[in-house]
Amino acid sequence: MITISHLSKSFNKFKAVSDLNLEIKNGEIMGFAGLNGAGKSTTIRAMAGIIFPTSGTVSIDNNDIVREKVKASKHLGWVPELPNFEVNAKPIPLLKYYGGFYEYGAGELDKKIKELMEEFGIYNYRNRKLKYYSQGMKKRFSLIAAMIGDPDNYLFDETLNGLDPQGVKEVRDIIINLKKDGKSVFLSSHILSELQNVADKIAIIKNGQLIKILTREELVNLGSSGIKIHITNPDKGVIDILSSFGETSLTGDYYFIKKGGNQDPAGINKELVMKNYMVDYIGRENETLEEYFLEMVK
Amino acid sequence: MNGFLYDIKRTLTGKFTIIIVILLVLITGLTAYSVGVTSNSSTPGSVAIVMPYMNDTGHNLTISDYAINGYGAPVSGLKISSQLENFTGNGTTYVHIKGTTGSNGYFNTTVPYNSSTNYNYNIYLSYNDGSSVGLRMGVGFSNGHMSNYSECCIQQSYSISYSHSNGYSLYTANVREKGDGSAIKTMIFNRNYTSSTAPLHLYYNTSSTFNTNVYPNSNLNTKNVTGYGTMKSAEYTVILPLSIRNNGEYVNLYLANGTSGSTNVAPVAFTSFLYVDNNPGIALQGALVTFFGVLFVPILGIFSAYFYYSKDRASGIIESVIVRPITKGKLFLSRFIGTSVSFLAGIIIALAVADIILEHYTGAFISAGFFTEMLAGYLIEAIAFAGIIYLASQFIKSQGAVLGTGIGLLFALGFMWQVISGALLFLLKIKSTTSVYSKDSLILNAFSPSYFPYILADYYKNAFGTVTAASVGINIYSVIIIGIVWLLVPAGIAFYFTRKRD
Repeated sequence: MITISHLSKSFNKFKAVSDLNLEIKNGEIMGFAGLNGAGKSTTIRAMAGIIFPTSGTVSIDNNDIVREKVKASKHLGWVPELPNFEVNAKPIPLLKYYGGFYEYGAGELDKKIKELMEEFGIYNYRNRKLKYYSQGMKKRFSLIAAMIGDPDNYLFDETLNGLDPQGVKEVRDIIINLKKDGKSVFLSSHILSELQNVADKIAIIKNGQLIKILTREELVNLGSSGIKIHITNPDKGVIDILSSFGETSLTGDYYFIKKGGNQDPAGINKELVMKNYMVDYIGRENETLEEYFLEMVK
Repeated sequence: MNGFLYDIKRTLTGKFTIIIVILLVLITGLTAYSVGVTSNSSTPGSVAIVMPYMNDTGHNLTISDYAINGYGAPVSGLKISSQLENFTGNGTTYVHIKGTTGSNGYFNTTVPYNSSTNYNYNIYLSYNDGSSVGLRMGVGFSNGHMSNYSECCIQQSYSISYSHSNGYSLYTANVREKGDGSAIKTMIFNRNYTSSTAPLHLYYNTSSTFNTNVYPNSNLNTKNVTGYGTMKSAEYTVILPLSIRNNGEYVNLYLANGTSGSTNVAPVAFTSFLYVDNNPGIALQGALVTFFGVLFVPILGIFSAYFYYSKDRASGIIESVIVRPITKGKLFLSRFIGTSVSFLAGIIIALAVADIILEHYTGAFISAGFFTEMLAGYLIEAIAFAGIIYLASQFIKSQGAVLGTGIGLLFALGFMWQVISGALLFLLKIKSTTSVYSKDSLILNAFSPSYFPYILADYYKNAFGTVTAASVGINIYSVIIIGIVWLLVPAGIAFYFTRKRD
């Protein structure tokens, strides 16, 4: 379990994270979303014990990451966005080095390393230096490095970035398996659809402040449903017509009429066609997480 | 294994540590080799010192030549070609004598003797291979006893003197203690010793000038000298407690047959010799202190700190370790201690290899004092430079900037320091001929870790240029303070910041 209590972090006068409170329970996946510079990585780095909080605390299984660093770190695995390991090293010696910080008996560490490397499909490349690994292989190595101490809590910082669809699926499956094993997972990602797929909750951060925690129920019934329309010859008059059916917004090329009022798609289509607009898509839809997220953080 | 110890172990077994050790061994080994092959001192084992003894046995003159090597051990197989000059009223007659010393170092022969004439006995000697070696006495014989008249071919620190007084026929030979270049072993031989010979008491002192005041039969005040021991046999070995600090002083030895503990005794033999410390450590230190001390050791400290800490910190690699069950402070300490221990191991191995090479060429090992002094000086210098880089890494975030800082420090505190300190003294209008210049120069040297080995060497030898080290403030306290400051302060400040800063 990870508990963040009133966490703030400032760099000189810039407040990167402000009074953040979160709790990630065992067997729970919490997504963490925010625009670039919102404070996601700063939060994760403070949670991992890499940087010191300006105020507030982070507890890993009730061990303070600053005051009880050694105990807290034993229960924590961190998968960074970019590889931060010695790329000139070969995987097994480096994993042995990392594993040396944990309490393994004679031979146990070697066995653990072999198991994890086989599980993640890189054991056959064990004699290759890490700098010759592909992006996906490096990511898998990072996952193994995080799991080497068999911690109960995981931090994934934009781990899905740079992965091909196969890689994204693999990491998603790993995260779901960790949840099944009762581990707590904190997952920051720009790929919101993936967060929506795996997270039990999604915390949204803006300018260093937590602005919303979406639960699974809220994710399922996200935002207001309405009518989504695409017109091939739009002009300014479209908004006037659609506004008579409800509150209308334009996101990209799509018009969206929020739920409420007279919203019969057939009637709306008839009205547009009569005004010589060419409608190539009209239908009822729920607002996506992306739309909701952009609305929240704008 | 505890993460702290595990990280130290990893640093010690890292590739860079192995490279450090190899480089240290190569550089000190090559330096020792160049010092050894250019050394002009003969290997003591190949030196021969011959002490002749002549005795009237009625109608014969018994001649007994005793040969020892530079360690004081008997020399066997030494070819002796000698000539006995018999001065008669009708001119001089010559007797040529040839022979070889036996396993006990003696060559004995007998020639007819005419008590009414005087003799000179001259020796020429060579080893079986024909090479000319050693040191020999020419002795005279008249009225039934010997007197020395010359010594020949003194080699480096070896010396021999003869004294005949009060029935004692005493040779004093200065040779070397095997394996210790600093020690001068004084061997005293009483060539006419018998079981009834009265014991002799040995006293000594040192003086800055050659002592001509006390000769046999003059009174010696024992309060002004130090008692060493009593000679109760034909051969007596003396190793005086002298060190590099006595280098250049005259050592005065007195043998007296008075009662031990008496205030005034009459010496029967006196010898004075210049103490020259032949420890090969002196030459090695002189050869190392410039390139090795001012350039290589700073490079070693700077690059070790860079590779084991700064590079990982600046590149973010260290974050993959910080997230492990170890604190930032302990990770810092483990890397720093690992780096320091690698310096210690590397310098010990390097000096040990240099020691073996020097012993091969000079026959003497570096003294423990010199070994310790060089080890401490270079170790503290390397740790100080590493500490400075660890400190800089707390504030400098890029690898390039850290390396640039290191190279800048190498220039400023390393081989440019003498220029910088000279310029500072020039700007302060301090004349180089004044004593203030020496002191200020020393103070400025204390501000560069590159010059700590110099300060330590000055203290050890008690010499700072042409004056004593103590006279310019180099003493045990100042040396310890400077050493501790360089050892702990840069690393201590870096440790403080690593625990307080991100």
